[in-house]
Amino acid sequence: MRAPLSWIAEFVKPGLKPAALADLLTRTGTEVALLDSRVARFRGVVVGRVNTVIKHPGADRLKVCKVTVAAKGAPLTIVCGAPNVAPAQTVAVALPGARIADGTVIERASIRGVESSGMICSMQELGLGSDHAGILVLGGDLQPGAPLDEALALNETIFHFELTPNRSDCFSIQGLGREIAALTGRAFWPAVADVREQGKPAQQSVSVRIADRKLATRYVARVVRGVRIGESPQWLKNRLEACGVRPVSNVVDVTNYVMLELGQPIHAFDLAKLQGRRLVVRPARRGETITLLDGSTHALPVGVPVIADAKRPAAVAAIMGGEASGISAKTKDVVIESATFHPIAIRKASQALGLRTEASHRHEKGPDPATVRLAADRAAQLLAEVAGGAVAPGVVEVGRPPVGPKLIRVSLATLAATLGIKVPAAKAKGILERLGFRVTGTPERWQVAPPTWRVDVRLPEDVTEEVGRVLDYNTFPKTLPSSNLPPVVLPPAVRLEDTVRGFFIRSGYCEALTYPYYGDQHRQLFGLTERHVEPVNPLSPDQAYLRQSLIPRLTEAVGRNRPAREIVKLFEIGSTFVPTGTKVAEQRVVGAVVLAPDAVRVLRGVAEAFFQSGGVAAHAGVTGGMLTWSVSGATAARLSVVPPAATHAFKLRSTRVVAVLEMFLTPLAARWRTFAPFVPFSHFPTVTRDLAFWLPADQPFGPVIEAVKRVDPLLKDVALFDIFTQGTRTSYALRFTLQSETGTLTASDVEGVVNRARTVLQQTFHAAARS
Amino acid sequence: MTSDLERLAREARAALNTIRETAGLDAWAVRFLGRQGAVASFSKRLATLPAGERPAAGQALNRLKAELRHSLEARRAEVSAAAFPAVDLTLPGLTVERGHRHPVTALLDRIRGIWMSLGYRVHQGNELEEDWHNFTGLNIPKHHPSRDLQDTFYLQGLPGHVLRTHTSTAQLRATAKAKPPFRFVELGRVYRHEATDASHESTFFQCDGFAVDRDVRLTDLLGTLTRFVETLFERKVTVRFRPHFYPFVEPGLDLDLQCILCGGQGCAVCKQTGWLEMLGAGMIHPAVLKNMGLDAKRWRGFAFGMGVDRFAMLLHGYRDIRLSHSGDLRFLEQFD
Repeated sequence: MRAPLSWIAEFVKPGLKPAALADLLTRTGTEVALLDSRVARFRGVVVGRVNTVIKHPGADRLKVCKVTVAAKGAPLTIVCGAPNVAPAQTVAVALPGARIADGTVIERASIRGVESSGMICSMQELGLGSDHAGILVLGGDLQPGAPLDEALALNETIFHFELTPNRSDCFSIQGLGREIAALTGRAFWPAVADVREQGKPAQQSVSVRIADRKLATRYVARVVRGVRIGESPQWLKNRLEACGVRPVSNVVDVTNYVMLELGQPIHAFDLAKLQGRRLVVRPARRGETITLLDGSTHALPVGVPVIADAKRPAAVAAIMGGEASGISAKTKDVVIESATFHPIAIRKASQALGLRTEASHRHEKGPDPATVRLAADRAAQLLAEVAGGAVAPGVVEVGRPPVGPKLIRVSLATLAATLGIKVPAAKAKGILERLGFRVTGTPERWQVAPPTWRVDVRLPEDVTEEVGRVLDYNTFPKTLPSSNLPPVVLPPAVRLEDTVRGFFIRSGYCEALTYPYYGDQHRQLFGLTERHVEPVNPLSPDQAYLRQSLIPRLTEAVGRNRPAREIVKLFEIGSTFVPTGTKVAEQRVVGAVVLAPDAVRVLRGVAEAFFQSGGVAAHAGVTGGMLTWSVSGATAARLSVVPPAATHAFKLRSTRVVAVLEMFLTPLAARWRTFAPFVPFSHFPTVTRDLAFWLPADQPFGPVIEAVKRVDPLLKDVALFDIFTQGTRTSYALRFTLQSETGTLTASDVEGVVNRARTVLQQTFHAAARS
Repeated sequence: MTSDLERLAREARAALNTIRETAGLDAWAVRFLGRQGAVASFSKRLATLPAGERPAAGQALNRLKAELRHSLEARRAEVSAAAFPAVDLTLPGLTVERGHRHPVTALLDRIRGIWMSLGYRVHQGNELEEDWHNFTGLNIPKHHPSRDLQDTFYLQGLPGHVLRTHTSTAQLRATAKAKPPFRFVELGRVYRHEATDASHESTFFQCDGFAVDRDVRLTDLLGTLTRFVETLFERKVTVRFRPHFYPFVEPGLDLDLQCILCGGQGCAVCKQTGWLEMLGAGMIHPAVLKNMGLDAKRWRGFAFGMGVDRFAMLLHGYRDIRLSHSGDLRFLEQFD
């Protein structure tokens, strides 16, 4: 909501500089996001009135104009090339010496033999917009000679409010004025309407009815006859523009003006176009359609509240009027609508139609029900003033006038205890009364009646907030709650995430975050064919599914890094979503991807070192092309390689295997040992021996090394340190590390163990010694 | 005997000083200190001396032996030091192959640690939530304008479920089995159905927390938030409390931090206001207390919440929130 200070000042004189006022409002909950203080821009640009326009004697496209630019004195001769210049227009004239928006200084000049003493300006030349097709035509009410800054109210201070949805009262200039008056203690002048009625009563022209009380509670209509449709006077246009509303025509502008001023949306119908001269608030019926003022046509969902005439919907209630019943250049008699609709009904309709307007926005929040009549009167008054209409006597009205507010029982002691401060009763009462609340009874049992415009205040806590916010929380002492709580411990699953994160980072992996959703391409490339959880409203097709695996997006991220990198190691900890029947299993998962030489062994090494660090016995096995670790029967981790199609699609290096790992934290957390058990180590020296041998190339090596490790307990480690393939056979080189707990090993101890290993290799696996 | 010993000592010292390599030192050791060496031959001569002279001569011989051994070790150190290659201390260091922590999770961790130190237990809830826990139970009824504050992802075939729009869900989840008084904090991923640009993401991280006790006051909330902010920054910072509306608190407020970039003068980051909105907070709404299963007449509480990603951006000085989910090493490698 934007509000020019000059308009606010019609309701209250704040007595503060704009910046101080903005600060006060912000600190008390009516946030000023931006203070737009405009300064004079146009020195030497004034309002002019075009007297005559004749064709230039020496140029087809130029015109010679006589323009009055002062209350007294002779008109100036100005040569103008704009196609739209015409006698009687009020225009902006840059006098000789004036500087226009692009920096040009206007000078007296002879244009094709005619002396020109200034320039009639377009929007673009004034820097007010991009329109340069013709000159800017101003409201006819402006006085020639007036500086343009003043005429267009350009040296205005405009408050840009960031309002919260509960404060519907502040979505109006009057409401903001009232709030400022309460905060500053200054006098508040509420809006009044001064309606001069004439002609036959309004009831003779139109009837109104509310067919469904769940849609609206009150409907007030006024009739203004004999209006002349045209442009609004400049003061009205200026105010709308300062509030960010585009002026349209005098009747439409008046409805917008009253909405901005009082917060009550107003609609204007062309009386002549209302079938049966009646207005009925009712739900839309099956098959009804409407073309709205913005030109869009809608099939109306059944039940959407409409304002219908005798035959068809004339407006979608509280949202937008219909084109057929709307104001046109030929409109003579106008019906003004001011009504209280049911906020939820309007909100549902607005969502069903996908239409949000300034009016629906306000109706959803619930404008002050007591303003309905005033708004109708104000609109009628202004129509008479700016469009020359005659206001018909009386209003046509149905529905209940607003009922009295529900009383809130408030104890001052509870109020003060909630805030944590001492508040004298008189002070709290004074604050509430300035805000328009009525307070009766004793401070132990105050009865608080909120004003009609504060539909958001219903509970004692709401009243507490009103007192607290005006006192300004920044003046309160800062205390800490008393503590009598048990010690804080991390849930084991959360702690394990920390452990994983630390382990991977220490192991040289970078922690990434990726989007928790992916698209069809990711699913296809990684064979994720199971059913996925799908958002109803994904932001894009490649975010159509909630992830079941962290791998697709992590692999994609590796691909993005690939052009500049030979080695990429990424990991992520996050949630996955797997549908199970009518529910969804949400799991915390670790994903890791490695692009590096020997990627599978690199990643396997990290996984197994991690399990070991937590004292977890994980059993590895190969199933379905994956290396799987299980812990107590549950799958704890899976290691595989990126499918070739994905390698290609994500532009990974095609000749190199990219390894991926997924770890599931729940089974690991159950077995994790926070305090790793110490195992005593031997103080005797270690001895190493190397052994190289050939195996058939199709022999998996895992069982081989496992068998070798079981040969003798003196073998503390068996490490594969070299591997290469020649034709149909592969060479493996193992390094044995031997050590005893009880003494120094002799050469024959060592040879004995190595020979037994050699025997197992030859007899069980048909290994051939490599010389 | 004494003069012979002195001669031997001079000879041995002179010989030692000319040696430049280890092999020479070994030969010298054999010659003077070996089993058949010069010192050993003197030991044999001791027996031939009169009994009265023997102790003094023996002591002199032992002193010489010790001195020569010491000189040999010293010389060995000199010789091997001379054999050391020259070191160019100006060579550049080698690149460390190390991992890096994501700046957002690092900040989450830091924030969590502060709340834990203030007595808040950590809760971890689901990202896929029931509408009731995300909205209705937090006093955000269906068809209420306050739902507009958080654009929401809904899920096919899962009516009544959403991707949580905030971690305030903890107020209903963490308390389901807990008995007051209690304090909880939840940190995690949330989702908003919002078009993505440099300052908007469809998913980001939040921290929410709350405390419930019999006598909790709004001033406790002000003090707690101030303590949190000052612990996070490790210094006094200027904050401002500004009343604000959140459906699940009443009264509700925001904590603004004086802009840490311009010191409150006004800059592009604080949109010329001098303030940065950091935390939303308030006294827990009685309807929410009731949904926690508590009697609002006997218990009071406060709650607070903050977005973490934008704060990480501010602290590290990056301007595009989308970097967070890019997995780009040029981004990730710049942090811890």
